Amino acid sequence: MAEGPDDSPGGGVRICELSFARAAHDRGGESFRLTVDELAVEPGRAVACIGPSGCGKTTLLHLVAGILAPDRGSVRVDGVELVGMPAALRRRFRLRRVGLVFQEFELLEYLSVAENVLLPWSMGRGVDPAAKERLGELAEATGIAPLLRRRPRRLSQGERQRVAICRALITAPKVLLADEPTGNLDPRTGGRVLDLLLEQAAARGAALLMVTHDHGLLGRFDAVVDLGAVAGAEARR
Amino acid sequence: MNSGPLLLAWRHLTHRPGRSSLLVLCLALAALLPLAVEALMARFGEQLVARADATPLLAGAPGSRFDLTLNGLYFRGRVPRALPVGEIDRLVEDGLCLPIPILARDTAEGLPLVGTSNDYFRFRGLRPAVGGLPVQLGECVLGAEAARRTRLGVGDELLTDHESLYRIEAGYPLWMQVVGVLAPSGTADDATVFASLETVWISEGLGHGHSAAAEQDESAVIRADENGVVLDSSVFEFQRITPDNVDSFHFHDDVDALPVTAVVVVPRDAASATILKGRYRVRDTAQLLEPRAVIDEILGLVFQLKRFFDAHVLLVGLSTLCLFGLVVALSIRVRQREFETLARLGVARSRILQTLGLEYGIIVVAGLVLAALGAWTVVVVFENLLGWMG
Repeated sequence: MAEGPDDSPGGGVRICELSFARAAHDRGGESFRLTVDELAVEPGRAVACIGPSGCGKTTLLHLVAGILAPDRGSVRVDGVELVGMPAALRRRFRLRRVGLVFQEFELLEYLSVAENVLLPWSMGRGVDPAAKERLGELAEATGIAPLLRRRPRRLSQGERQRVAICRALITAPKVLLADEPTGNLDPRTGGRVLDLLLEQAAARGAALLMVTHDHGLLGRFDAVVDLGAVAGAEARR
Repeated sequence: MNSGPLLLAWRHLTHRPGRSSLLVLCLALAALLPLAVEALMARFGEQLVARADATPLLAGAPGSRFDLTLNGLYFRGRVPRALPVGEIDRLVEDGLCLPIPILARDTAEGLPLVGTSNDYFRFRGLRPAVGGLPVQLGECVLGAEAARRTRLGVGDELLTDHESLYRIEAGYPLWMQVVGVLAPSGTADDATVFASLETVWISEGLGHGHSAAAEQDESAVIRADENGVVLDSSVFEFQRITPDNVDSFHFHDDVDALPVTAVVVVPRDAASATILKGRYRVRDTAQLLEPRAVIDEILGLVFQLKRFFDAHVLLVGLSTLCLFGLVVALSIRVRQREFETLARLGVARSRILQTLGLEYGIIVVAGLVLAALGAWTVVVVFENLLGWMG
């Protein structure tokens, strides 16, 4: 199931005629090919991406984030065409306009919670008073305000993922990409984290594309894309 | 400049203080020795040259010019032969120079004891900070460092050292009265005890004082004839020169033959210096040298040796650089996932490199600062240990 084409090409995620392939030597002896004819995620909508392991869910997310570049096709994110954009510009675009949440949280252990959340700012255009103000708002909204000075190792798994979500939201992105953010959490905590992610994305009118294996969560999304069914993905040894 | 990379670099350094401190310490230790040697060489070379430049010419008995220079400038080492003090008369006879005698063979409280004339203080610009200069037999003046080490001041007494218990022909140690302490000069004069030439001759046993022969018990008189009176060893020799006994002090030898170890020769002008050098070139009973030339020769030898040390330092530096590179490479490998996360978030590669550069830059700078502080400490400690150099 895929969202229909976006009439207003200014927002969300729009993929057309995408094709991406990796040769065997790049993937440990296994060649890989992913094709997606059409996929769109409207601003303010949440789409889950499911499919069997190896079907290319994470690859799709990386293509949308601009971490990988497709061989052909079009990937428009928040109104910007990423195909053909130089890698350095894609990085800058991602840092400023795309929020990423990972399964393993990927927090830097030597930074405090506040510094982790502000990382896209501090390593980007620099932390300004507006960013600090936004940190306060997000911390309050996600319940991590009392934890801001702590180091990640002193947080629970659920708290860590909330910090990671705040980091993804700190630049107020219009596109949120989450790669199995509840995969490392127990069902109850995972449910809460998903609620938080959906709530924050909706509150900010951001398009959310989330990869998940947990079919029990699918009912909370506006749409579900089964990549195994709608996309041409194949792996060959 | 964006402070993010600096923040990340600093936080990572302080997150693992043991690892960071160890790296800083390793670099500091590797850099300490070459820096310290370089600083010591520069400092001492500078001082050696300054002292030599301040001493136009030096006369002495024939022999090693290095020994004569070290003795005449730093009151250290022994000259194999002394020059008779009568040589000074030859130097002054046509007014070409001001000769200043130096007799530096003995010590007092472990410090060089130098017999000289008061011209020496004027020539070196030495002035008493407390008290005055020695004018009477048995008086001495201490350099600033000598006063600090002996904790003596004006009015105190100082005993000369006896070189050997078994040197029976030498006189008894002599108590000298401290009449002044010199202001610090930052030279070898600071760690020296100065007295008149006559006082040092007496302390060396070349002159002495005792009660008049006529007052002696007859049994103490070994021989009495027209050549004088010879008394046996039961006669009490004065170990202190006082107003009451000062007149009893005398020298049995020909005073012109009494020794000096060096003569600082201050020529009237360049022409006088040339004439004097010409005269001494043809003499074989004395030598006249330019201390600067000798010091340059010594420093030349030292710098030749230092080339071997420099080569060693280069090899150690290269191996340290390789090891440091290995540590950096391993650290990057260990932190690969962190850098991948930063890249996936969209952090520019240049920012990641900047973060790494700052982190290792801080370590290198801290290591070098620590090494520089260590080198400075070494120089200060060596200057204190080898006070004669300073």
